[in-house]
Amino acid sequence: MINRVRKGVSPVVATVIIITVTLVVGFAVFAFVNSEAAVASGAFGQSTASYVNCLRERFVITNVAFNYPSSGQVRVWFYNNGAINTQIVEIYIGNSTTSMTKISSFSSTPSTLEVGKSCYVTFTYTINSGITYYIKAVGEFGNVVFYYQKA
Amino acid sequence: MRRYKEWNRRKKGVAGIIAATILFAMIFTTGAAYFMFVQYNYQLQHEASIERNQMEFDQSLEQFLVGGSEDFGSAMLYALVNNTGPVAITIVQIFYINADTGALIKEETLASPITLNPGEITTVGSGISYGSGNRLIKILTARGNIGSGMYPPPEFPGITESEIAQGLGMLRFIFLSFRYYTYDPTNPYKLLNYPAGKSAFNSPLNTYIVFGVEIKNVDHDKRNITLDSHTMLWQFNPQQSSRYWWYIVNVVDNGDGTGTIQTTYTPISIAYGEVKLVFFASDKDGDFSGPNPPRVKVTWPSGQPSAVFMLMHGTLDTLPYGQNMPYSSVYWT
Repeated sequence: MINRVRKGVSPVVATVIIITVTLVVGFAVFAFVNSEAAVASGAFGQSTASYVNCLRERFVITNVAFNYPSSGQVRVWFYNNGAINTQIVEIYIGNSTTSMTKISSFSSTPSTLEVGKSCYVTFTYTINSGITYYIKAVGEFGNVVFYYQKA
Repeated sequence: MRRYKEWNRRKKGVAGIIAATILFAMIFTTGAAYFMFVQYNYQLQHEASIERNQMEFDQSLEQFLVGGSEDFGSAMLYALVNNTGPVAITIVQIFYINADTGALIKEETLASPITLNPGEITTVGSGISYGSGNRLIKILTARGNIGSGMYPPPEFPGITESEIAQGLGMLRFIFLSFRYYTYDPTNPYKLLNYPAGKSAFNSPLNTYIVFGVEIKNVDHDKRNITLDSHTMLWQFNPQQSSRYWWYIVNVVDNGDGTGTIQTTYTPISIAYGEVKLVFFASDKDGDFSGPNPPRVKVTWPSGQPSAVFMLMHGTLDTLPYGQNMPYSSVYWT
C-alpha cells in the first residue's frame, strides 16, 4: 500500500521541478530579451530624436556688428527659420576658418531662439578694423552655421 | 488504473503546446513591439526629412531686391523691397548699416511682419533719418533668406557710365537728390532742414529758397572738375515767358540741422567718381554778402511748371569746361 502511494510521488515532483525550471528559465530568457530590446529601442529612439531635432533645427546669422553696443564687443543676430525652438550653445570667432577661438562667456537675448523669432548674442572680443572675422555658431541640436564679415 | 492511464494519455502534449504558445506569444509581442517601434522611428525621420526638404525648397524659391527709398520731405530713408520671385515673401527684420563706417545704425524687428506678393514693391519699416552717405540695408525674410541693397544705389562701372555720359557731359545730375531749402526767418544766411532739404520737384512760390542738387563726376578720363562762380541754375516758365536764376554758393554745415551760406564763393572741386551736394542761392555771380544778401524768390502765378537748367562752368583739370544739364522741371505752388 505504502509502495503504491510512493509510486506516484516521483512523477509529480519531477513534473513540478520541470515546470518550475521551465518557467524560471523561460522568464529569464524573456526578461533578458525584453531588456535588450528595451535598451536597443531606447538607443534607437534617442538617435531618432537627435536626428529629427537636428533636421528640424535651422537658424541663420542675420547680421554681425563689431564694436557694438560698445567698443570691444561683438553682437551677432540669429534668426530661427526651422521648426523647433533652440539655443545657441557655442560660438567661435577668428580671422580664419582654421584658427577660431571659442567664446567662453556670452549672453543670449532672449536665451531661447524660438521658431520664427530672432535673438542676439553679445560677447567681448578685440576687433581690428579691416580684418575679416569668421564666426561659427553651434545650435543645441548640433547644427553649425558660419558667417564672415570684414570689420 | 486503466482510467488514469487513459486520461494521462489523452492530456499528453497539451502542456507543451500551451507552453509553446505562451512562449511564442511572449517573443512575438516583444519582437512586434520592437518592430513597430523601429518603424515608427523611421517614419518620424522620414517626416522630418520631408519637412526639412520642403523648407529648403520654399526658401530657394524666394527672390527679391532690396534698396532704399528716401523721403526728402521728412529726411527719412526707408527700406524698399521688390519681390521678383514666384512666391510671396514675408519681411520680419531690417538692419540699417552705415556702409562708410560699417557701424550699425538701427535694427528693426517688425512687430507685424509684412508680406509681399510676387511682383509687389513696397517700403517696409519705420526708416531712419538720412542726410547723406552710403547706407547698407539688410532684409530678413521669414524663411531665413537675407537680402541687402545700398542707398544711394551703386552706379554703373566707371567705363560704362563714362561712355554713356560722354554724350551728355562729364557731370551727372542725380535726379532724386534735387531739393530745396528755406531760410531761417531771423537769419538771411541760414538754411533750415539742412542737409536733407525737401524735394524740389514741387517748390513754394513767394518764398526765398535755395536749391540743392547732387552732382557726380563721371569723366571717362577721370579728371577733376572744378565749378567756378559762373555756375548757375535757372528756370523758365513758358506760360509767363519769364525766368529766375540762382548762382552757386558755398554752404557750411552748422551741425544742428542748419547750414550757413558763405558771403563769397570758393570754387568747388569734384574728383572722378565723387558725388557732391552743391547749392544755388544767389542772384549775383560769386556774391552773397550784405545785410540783405541777394536771395531769390519766385512770384509766378500758382500752379505752373517751369523748366530747370543747370549751367555748370569751370575747369576740367586745367581745361576750361562748361555743361548745360536740362533734365528737370519744377511745379510751383
